[in-house]
Amino acid sequence: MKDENSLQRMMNGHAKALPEEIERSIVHQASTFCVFGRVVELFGPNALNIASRYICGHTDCNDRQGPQVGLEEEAPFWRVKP
Amino acid sequence: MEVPATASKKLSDFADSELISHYLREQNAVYFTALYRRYAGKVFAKCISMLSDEGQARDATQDIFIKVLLNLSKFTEQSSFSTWVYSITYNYCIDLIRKKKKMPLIFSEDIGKVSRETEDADEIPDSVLLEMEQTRLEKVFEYLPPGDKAILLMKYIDDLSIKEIGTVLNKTESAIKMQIMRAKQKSQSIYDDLFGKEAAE
Repeated sequence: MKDENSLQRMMNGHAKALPEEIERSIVHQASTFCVFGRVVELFGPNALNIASRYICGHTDCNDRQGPQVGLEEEAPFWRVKP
Repeated sequence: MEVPATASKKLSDFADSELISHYLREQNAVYFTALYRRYAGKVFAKCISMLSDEGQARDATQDIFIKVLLNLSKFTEQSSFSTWVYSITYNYCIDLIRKKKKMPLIFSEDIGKVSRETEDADEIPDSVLLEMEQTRLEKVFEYLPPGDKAILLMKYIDDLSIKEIGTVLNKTESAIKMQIMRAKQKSQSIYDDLFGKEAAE
């Protein structure tokens, strides 16, 4: 600090007047961006996939897990005619 | 907000590039807050010097950090992070002054159109500016054109090279050298007008 010139002293004086409310606002904005980024990262790919299916009419639905009716292995013994 | 448990050292020990890469990778606002705390004071001081108004400087500082936040992924490390932030600051302030005041004269003389008379003038020592009494220096700064303020701050506060200043302001190195000289001359003439010639000697 000994070698400070007038210009540096003037700038340091200005820097000390920095209001705290700016930090609150910037931190809030940065947190919002982070949350938004995570939401996009989490749901973005699936949402795009679904949207593209709706738009393009793609019918490849292998991943759809509906109720599986009539796919039992074998009929139980008591239902088999003698 | 919490510092991640994986961080083995203090945030203040992180280099700028480490904070940026952590922020972009982990999406944790703590890292950006650390960057903000490191540079906010300097950016705010530059805004006050350039705009000569504390209210405008506050709004400008906020806008500049939002710009930094939005463009952080575009930072390519061709220059240091501080140079990048300061170049955003100076250009933002110059644009703001241009828009608000419709001021045609951003530099004391249009860069590149320097007369022979100016080229032949004696070099003014740095001490004229750097050893001026602080309150008087603040007064002189109020009357300097914004471009001159920016160029003097870049040279004497940010320690940027002539080449870096040229990159920030998009001017040639010779134009920047000439402009530094013009800015010092302008400062001295403002000082002489305000406080008289004897005071400077």
